[in-house]
Amino acid sequence: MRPLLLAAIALPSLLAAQAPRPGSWRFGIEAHIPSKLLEVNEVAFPDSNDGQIKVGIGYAAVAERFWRMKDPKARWGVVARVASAPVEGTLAGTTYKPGRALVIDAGLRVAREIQTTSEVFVGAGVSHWSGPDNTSPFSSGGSIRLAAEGGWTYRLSSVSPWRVSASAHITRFPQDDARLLATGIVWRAFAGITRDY
Amino acid sequence: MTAFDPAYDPTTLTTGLFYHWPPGHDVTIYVDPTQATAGTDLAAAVREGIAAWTRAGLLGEIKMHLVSDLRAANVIVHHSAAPRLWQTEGCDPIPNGAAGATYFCADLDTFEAVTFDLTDGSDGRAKMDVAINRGAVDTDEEFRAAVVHELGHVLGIGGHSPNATDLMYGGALQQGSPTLDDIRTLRYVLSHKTDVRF
Repeated sequence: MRPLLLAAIALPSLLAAQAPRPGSWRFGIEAHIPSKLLEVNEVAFPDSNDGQIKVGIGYAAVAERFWRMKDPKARWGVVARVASAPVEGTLAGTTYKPGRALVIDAGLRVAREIQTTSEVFVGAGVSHWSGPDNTSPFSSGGSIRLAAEGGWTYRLSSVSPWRVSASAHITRFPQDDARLLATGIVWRAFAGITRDY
Repeated sequence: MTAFDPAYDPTTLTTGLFYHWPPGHDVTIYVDPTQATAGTDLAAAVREGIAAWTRAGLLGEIKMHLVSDLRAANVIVHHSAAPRLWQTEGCDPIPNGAAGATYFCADLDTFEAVTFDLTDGSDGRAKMDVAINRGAVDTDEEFRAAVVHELGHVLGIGGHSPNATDLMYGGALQQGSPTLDDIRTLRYVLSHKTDVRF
């Protein structure tokens, strides 16, 4: 019976060791899921039905530093992400590629476990968009834009530090009179895998 | 008029036909400095025009840059007194004495823009000619404005604004860069499928 007792003691200890600790880190890589950014109908020409700009499949790296809250199932953290994705435009029936977008996000995130292995989070912060040149909303108006996010992570097993994640982001871009651009919101989405340390 | 209607008809010079380069196409421009009037810098004026018009881009659809190789050029910009670097049968510009003139030819069977035959016999890809007449304007500012104005025609505005404060006004220019009305009109052009293919 003695070995079994040791195992019974060791298992909770192992679980405790694997569970996120106060002041833990989380790193991950993500795929930038294609999404439409601007529809010309919405911001420019009501009579044009085929003008739009979108981002294609890209990649991102994400890092998060988080701390436990009073509620043992909740935590908060600071998160940063760098994402790169190709941009594709369609205008007057022609598709073209003005270049790649580089987007850096930074913000605060609050998360809560909803089951042993699942966690949901929401966050807010800012996004910095750059490139391609002369392509809204990347290079018009202010370069720092307000952003918000929401997402979900799933721990691969109850003792695993690995998680799969999915999240959606919105970024508000400002009105740009010089380009006849009305203010609006662009959506982005990510799916990836992260590891806790 | 809604906020995004054209400010003026962009097809009055082309009998109602829309023309423009494919959106996102990087239009290459060769500047021929031959026969320059003292003190005029045609290349600098073209660079100024490129910057002014590309700033108006919304979807990365407007791209232009200078090239030093004539054979790589889509557009040839030159002083009106300079001998033309191309000669294509049945496609001869009509001198009009204006400060600037943008010219291209279209095959009326296929509605494709004609590629010019370069006079040096090499293969080229130029389909537009821009002639600038320094003698038709009084000041360097008007000269530069004329160049920027012609680049508006290069991008697809085949008409003139009736408003004297617009860059694309058909008379003496007061404006050296595209106004919101000019930008709105160019956007309108670029959102339409072109009748003449470039």
